[in-house]
Amino acid sequence: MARLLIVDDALFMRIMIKRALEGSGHEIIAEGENGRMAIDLYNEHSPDLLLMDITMPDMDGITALKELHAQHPTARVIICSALGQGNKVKDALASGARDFVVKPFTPARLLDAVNKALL
Amino acid sequence: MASDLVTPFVQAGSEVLDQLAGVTAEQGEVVARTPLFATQAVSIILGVSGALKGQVIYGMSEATAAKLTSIMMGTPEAPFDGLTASAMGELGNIISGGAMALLFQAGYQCDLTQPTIVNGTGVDIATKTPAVVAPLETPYGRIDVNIALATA
Repeated sequence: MARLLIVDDALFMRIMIKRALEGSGHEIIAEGENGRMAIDLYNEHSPDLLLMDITMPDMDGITALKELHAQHPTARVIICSALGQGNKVKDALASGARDFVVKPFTPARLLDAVNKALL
Repeated sequence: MASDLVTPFVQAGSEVLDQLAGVTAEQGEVVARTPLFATQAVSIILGVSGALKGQVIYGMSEATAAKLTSIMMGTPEAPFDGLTASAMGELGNIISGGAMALLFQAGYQCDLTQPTIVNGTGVDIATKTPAVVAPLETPYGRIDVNIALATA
């Protein structure tokens, strides 16, 4: 069982992510709404994996991903965004994301990405 | 406005409504908006920057927003609240994200702002770039996709 942190500014999407991972054996330990909260909550909880959106207020997900990897080079992060165009995917993966899940996603796609990132 | 800027939103809108809500949407006639236009009760507004600049505004009735939220959440219909706003904001975000991917393939590299959701009747909107509206007719009401984009 892994301890997961979810960061997305949309309450609806945080609920959908939690539902998708229900019954998977993983535990959602905290939720945040922007990139700054992602870094703060990561430092507070040391999760096994962070699931994070890109377009968020205060600090976007790519900036947070870069800052987080500067502090924690082995941090496991999956970007989960509606912005699935090639340049965004490349930028996220080059910045250290383990995977890029494009919204809308199926629960199976999300769970597969989570389990592979945890290997 | 060139049709190559409208088609990605209609295509993404149809696909996302099907994927998220199992709703089949039929495209209505695309028409030009007057410079100042009235929206439906619920408006989801996203800014576009990069190779294209402007706004995309999704308009629908409160009843349509309530029904779509109910289907997407798998919960009973409820009055408009923060969760409805979040669900409709994310619907607009995901449709627009899909449209951005199609526009990227056509050579337009763009970014989106977070959605702003407005709920209220009698709201007039003016956009710097004249908008066109591409209606998507669903079994639960019409969704107006107002596209006000110009090349940078």
